[in-house]
Amino acid sequence: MERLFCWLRRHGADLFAVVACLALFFTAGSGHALVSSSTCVGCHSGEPFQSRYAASAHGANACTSCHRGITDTRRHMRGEERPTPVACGDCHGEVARAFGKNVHFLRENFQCADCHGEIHGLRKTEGSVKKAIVEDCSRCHSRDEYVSAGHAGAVLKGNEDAASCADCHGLHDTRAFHAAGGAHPKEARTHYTERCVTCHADADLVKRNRLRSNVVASYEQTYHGKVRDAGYPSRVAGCADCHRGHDILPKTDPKSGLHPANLEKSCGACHRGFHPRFASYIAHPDYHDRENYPALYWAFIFMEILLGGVFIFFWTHTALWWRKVYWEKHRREKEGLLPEQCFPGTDGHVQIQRFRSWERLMHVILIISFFTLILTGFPIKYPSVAWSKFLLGLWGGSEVAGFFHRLAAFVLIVMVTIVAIKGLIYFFPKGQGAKGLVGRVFGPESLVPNLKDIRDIRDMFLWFFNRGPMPKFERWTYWEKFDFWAVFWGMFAIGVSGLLLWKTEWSSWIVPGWVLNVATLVHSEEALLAALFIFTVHFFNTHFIPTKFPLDRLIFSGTYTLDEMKEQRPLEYERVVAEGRLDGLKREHPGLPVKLFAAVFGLGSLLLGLLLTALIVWAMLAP
Amino acid sequence: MFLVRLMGFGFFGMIVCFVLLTAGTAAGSQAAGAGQATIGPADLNRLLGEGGVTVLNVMSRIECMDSRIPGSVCPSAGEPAEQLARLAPDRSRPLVLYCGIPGCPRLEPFMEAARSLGYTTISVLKGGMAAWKESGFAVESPSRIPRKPMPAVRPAALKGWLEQKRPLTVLDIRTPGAYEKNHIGEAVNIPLEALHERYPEIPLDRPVLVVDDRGERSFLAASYLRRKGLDAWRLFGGMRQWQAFLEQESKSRGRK
Repeated sequence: MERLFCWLRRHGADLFAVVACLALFFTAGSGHALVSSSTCVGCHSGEPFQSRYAASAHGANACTSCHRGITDTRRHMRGEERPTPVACGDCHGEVARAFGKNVHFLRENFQCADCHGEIHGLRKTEGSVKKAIVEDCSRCHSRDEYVSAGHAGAVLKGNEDAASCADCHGLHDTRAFHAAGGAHPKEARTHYTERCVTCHADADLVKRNRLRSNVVASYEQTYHGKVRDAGYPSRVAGCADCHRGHDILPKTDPKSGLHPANLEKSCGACHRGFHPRFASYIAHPDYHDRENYPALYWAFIFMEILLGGVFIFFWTHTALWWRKVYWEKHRREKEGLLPEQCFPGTDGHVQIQRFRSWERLMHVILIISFFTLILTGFPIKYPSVAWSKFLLGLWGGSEVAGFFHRLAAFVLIVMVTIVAIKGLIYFFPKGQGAKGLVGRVFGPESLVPNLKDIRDIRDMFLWFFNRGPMPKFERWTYWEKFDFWAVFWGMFAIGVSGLLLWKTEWSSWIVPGWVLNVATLVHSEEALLAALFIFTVHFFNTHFIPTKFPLDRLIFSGTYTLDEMKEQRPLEYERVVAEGRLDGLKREHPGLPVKLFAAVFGLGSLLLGLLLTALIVWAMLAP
Repeated sequence: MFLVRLMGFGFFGMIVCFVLLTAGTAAGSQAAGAGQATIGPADLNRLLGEGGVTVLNVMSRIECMDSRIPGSVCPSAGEPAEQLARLAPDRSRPLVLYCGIPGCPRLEPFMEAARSLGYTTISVLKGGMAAWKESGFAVESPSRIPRKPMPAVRPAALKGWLEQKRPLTVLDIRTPGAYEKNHIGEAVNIPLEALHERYPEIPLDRPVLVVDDRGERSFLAASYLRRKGLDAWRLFGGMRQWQAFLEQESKSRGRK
């Protein structure tokens, strides 16, 4: 009876269509558009196939646009021919491709209709799409936590800037990493922090919604932000680790992860064994905010003044010195006074010892330790610059780099301790009491600055401007004394801050968490000071000055010629002669292995230093 | 020179101490794998095209009939050895097992049974169904269960229901072993593998709350039961979430 009815329907109003289809069948040979929509609704009558379908988003499509594979309606009606499964992706290709990675598909085998419902009556969403998304997701996913948060409240109020489910989790491309601490920590942290940043770093959006403007920039100032930026997000806290995922609430709310009562727990998700005051660490520090972070602000100002002062003085000093020596060399060359050399038969070429073996060895170890610290630390200081990831990759990741950073720091601390002990032993000569100490502190071999150094600085500047002779130096010049004490100051600043940051949880038993912010700032700025000072001031003063260019191997060989001593340390020479010690300081000419080592290791270090300077300048200029 | 040598030794000794200390605190070695032969989705696809391989889904029949790799066979309830003998009688034919969830509870029993039955080549699809789908290969659904949107019941809500003694069947669909170890109150155990045969045992006059291991399988099971006319719900996050909730509760009670 039903067949007859369908047959009659077919031969009624749509006879023309059938004829056209048959014509198509015979001309084209085959095809799936053989059956017209009216044929289908002849049997599949009633809603939603009638007016609801016509008014739906797909209403302009024929039944066979989606339900293909029926070539013979009689066989279809007998149940012998079934349409092929509907492939939404044929039209919605991009969505289908994204859905191919969707966790709902991969784990639960969801199909389009499982979320979109009855396709035949599907209409385009009217009003807020974000609201519709929240409604749709929460048909299965409880939205208790989400609804209580600011994002949802704003979405439901109609704020189109606020994040709906899809803004964080994706719409058709929801991935498997919902649980941040779960099976995909790296992907989850990368993804979700990226999602937060997208909106919270958008200046217009932030302004429009009266949000705090520098949350992203300030996070990127911290160790968390920097290591994430350098490409190791699984090792550090992302946004959601403190702010949580769905229940993102202001810190005044007792349920917020940032509420003072919950902070300890929030930090404790990653950190173990800390004192409760560890939580006073500032996750979004702003060095320019004097009101809220006075300690940070003043530490920042102090470091800026320190760096500025040191570099202004020493860069001027070096530039003037270089000018003087270069001009002088040029004059002597022009007048035929160069090359200077010892006359045969005199003892001008005799080698005089300046550094002892242990001092030379320590300098070599210091160089290795220093470069290790810079090569492991600076990629974290400048995480977004291209070479940062390359260097960390060479080390084998942030964790390995961190290990070597600590190892090199340990070596450095041991060396500074040895020097400090040796210094104390030197200052207190046996059996001479207070007199011995005074003699050592103010004596000619002392590294303690004295009035003569001030006079030397003045005379040196006069010499730079051709207003007087070069001052005569004793064993240590004022810039050498500065180099020496700068390491001690540097070790105090960088060493103490570094030790605090070594194991931050343990440090919290000594200092509150916010001190770690100051330590991070001091450590980072002091590192910049040390690196740039060594590479631009020490290198130029000691090695690149035209009279010594490209390398003064003195620190590697330990000896220089008597002529050099007379020229560079005339007062020391006179004193040593007067004390009758000169013969005792005479040494053999350094052997070939020492010279070769000095050339390869010394020049290699100088070149590496210059390369690092270029990298640092690159990082500072990079946007 | 003696001093230099002494310092050298000193340094070396301290560095060794440092390395030992640091290495000591580092994580230990990883546990060794079970050593099963695996096959990637692309290779499996090629083997299926060539024929001569038995591909067996080791999930429940409900899950397998809902979606499976085309050309693979679905198990039914029963012992793995008996199933293997029936579904893959030719033991010289390569046998590939696959599952759809991480930490599949039935993979190991099937592997053991296949080994003791003497199958010549046994391998496991690496990454399971998810990897197969992610590689872009099609799946077929011989008998798909339409998904019914339903909010998952949170552990805290369930606790309230249990305390109020609401009429409710808590249905534990995990393995009998897991059920024996721990289960919620008066939960009844019908493993998902047997649910298609035993669902008529569930009383119709009250809602049923489906509990699985991690909340990954209860949605399909509840959708299946809804289709069978039951008022089915599911527990958010499964037993793991329930345990975590109980732990949290006892902790906060201890604090008070």
